[in-house]
Amino acid sequence: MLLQLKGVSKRFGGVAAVDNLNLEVARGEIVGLIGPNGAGKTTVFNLISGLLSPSGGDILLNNTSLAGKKPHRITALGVARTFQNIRLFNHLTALENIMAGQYCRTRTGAWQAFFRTGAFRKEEREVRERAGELLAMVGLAPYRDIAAAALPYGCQRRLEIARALATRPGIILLDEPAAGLNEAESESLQEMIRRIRETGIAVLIIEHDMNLVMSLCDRVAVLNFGQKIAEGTPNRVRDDPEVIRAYLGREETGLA
Amino acid sequence: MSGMDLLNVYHLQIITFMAVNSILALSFYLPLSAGQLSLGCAGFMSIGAYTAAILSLHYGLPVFTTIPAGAAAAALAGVLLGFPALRLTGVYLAIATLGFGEVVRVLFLNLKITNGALGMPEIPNLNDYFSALYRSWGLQGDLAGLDLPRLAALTTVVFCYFVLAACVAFVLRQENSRTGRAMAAVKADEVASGVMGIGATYIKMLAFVQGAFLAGLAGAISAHVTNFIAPGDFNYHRAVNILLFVVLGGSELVWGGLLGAAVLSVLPEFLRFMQDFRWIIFGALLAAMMVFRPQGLLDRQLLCRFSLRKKRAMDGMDARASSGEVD
Repeated sequence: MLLQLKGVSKRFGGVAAVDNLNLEVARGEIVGLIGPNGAGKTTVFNLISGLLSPSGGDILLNNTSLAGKKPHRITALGVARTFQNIRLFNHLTALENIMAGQYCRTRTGAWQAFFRTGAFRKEEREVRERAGELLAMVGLAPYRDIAAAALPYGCQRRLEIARALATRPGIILLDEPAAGLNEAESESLQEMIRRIRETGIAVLIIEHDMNLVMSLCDRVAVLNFGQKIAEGTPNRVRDDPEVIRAYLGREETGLA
Repeated sequence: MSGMDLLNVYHLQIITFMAVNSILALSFYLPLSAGQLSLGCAGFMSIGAYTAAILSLHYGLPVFTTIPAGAAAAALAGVLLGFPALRLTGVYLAIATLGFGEVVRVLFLNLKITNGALGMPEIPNLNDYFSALYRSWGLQGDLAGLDLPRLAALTTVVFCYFVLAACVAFVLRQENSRTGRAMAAVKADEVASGVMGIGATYIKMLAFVQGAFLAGLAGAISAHVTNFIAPGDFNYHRAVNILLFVVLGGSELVWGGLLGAAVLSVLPEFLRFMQDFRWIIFGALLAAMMVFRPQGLLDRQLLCRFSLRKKRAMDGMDARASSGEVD
């Protein structure tokens, strides 16, 4: 198993934002994490990526514990993420954002840059090429020299995904990637996520767009008040009465 | 009176100070490029200056070892200060580093080895060093119409600008490298940079210590240019002055700080004819500047207007690498 959450809890004072959560993601799998607002979904992402450390339980990536590790170490181990409210490096260009994302996979230092050593020039060329490939993959090649802040909203979302991929992750955590996207953009986002999975990268995705979740995910886990109330294939979860009651409301009309 | 008069020792010293001030501007710019507002430059500068002065006066070490030693001492102080101070951000870091500068000043004011408030006179001078060097080569009279003192002063100028050029090259090349991108990322969003695999603590420490090193370097050079240093030379006026280089010149770009340092080194001399009024004019100019051009004299847009190559620089591309790629 690639990623394992074992009885993970996070308490803020008396509030259990995440309560004894067990969750597993296999290599190349797309898993959805859904639930009403305030259910603790983003807290789970913050725990996995190391922005928060768990109050209890353990998080394992390839059987290595991530609990208590610094975010940049966790990224180096193979976890990448995006943010619900996009957090790009605003005054850097699209290309530079992705180049910055390759930091933990590259080695040359300032002295090598000063003397323009062979190793530096080679690595710099590779970083630039790889950044160009990733830009093309998310369809942003024409925007490579535009400052991130100046990009249209939908492009910023895609750039954030490309930047996360630049860290060469084993798993990528996407926090509401379709938020604010129109129908067409959402379609192309799904296409992009499938392509990411085809490269062997696992995807854990928080999303409110149920069409997207149902058509994309292999498996869905439902959180409510920090607890997992259901897990299974999209169809099973959709028909789960507990989920319908807690998450989708009382009318048993099901989903679109 | 001849044209050579422009090259008198006084003018050459101002030109030398322009180089020293430019290095100081870089020392302020570096931490800023990783998002830290550090006002510790004056403190680090004094550590560099006093280290160089003590090593050469009390231990008789030659100038070319005392200058690197001064810079290294300041860098070491940067590491020691960095551990507690880099937990702070923004205005809190500014106050803490300003406090550090005052602590260093008061320390040097009360130490025996620094000669307290009387300061340290008769520090071996770069001009004298070069004079002696030329004399040892058998040079006595004029060379190309320059007498020995002028020739030595000119050599000091060349030496200082050589050091400055090396520093500028280092900063520029670092900016277009993995380390520089990490610094820019930390400045833009520290949380996001961590999740992108960048250890912000290390990057901030690196930028901070590099800044301390350059301030110490500038201090050590200035000690060997002025002959005399006293604790009062490195008070908070100095710290604010260094801040002004970068704020006036433009804090987005390396060139901004260099321009600011050049302007602020020369402007007081040009205003000298106004005698005591010159500081009023100077202050008024600064105030006007902040009202009409708060981003500083130089910014990306202005550079962009200059030339195509600079436009590429604005877009953040390494012009060299990109042209290589297009070809």
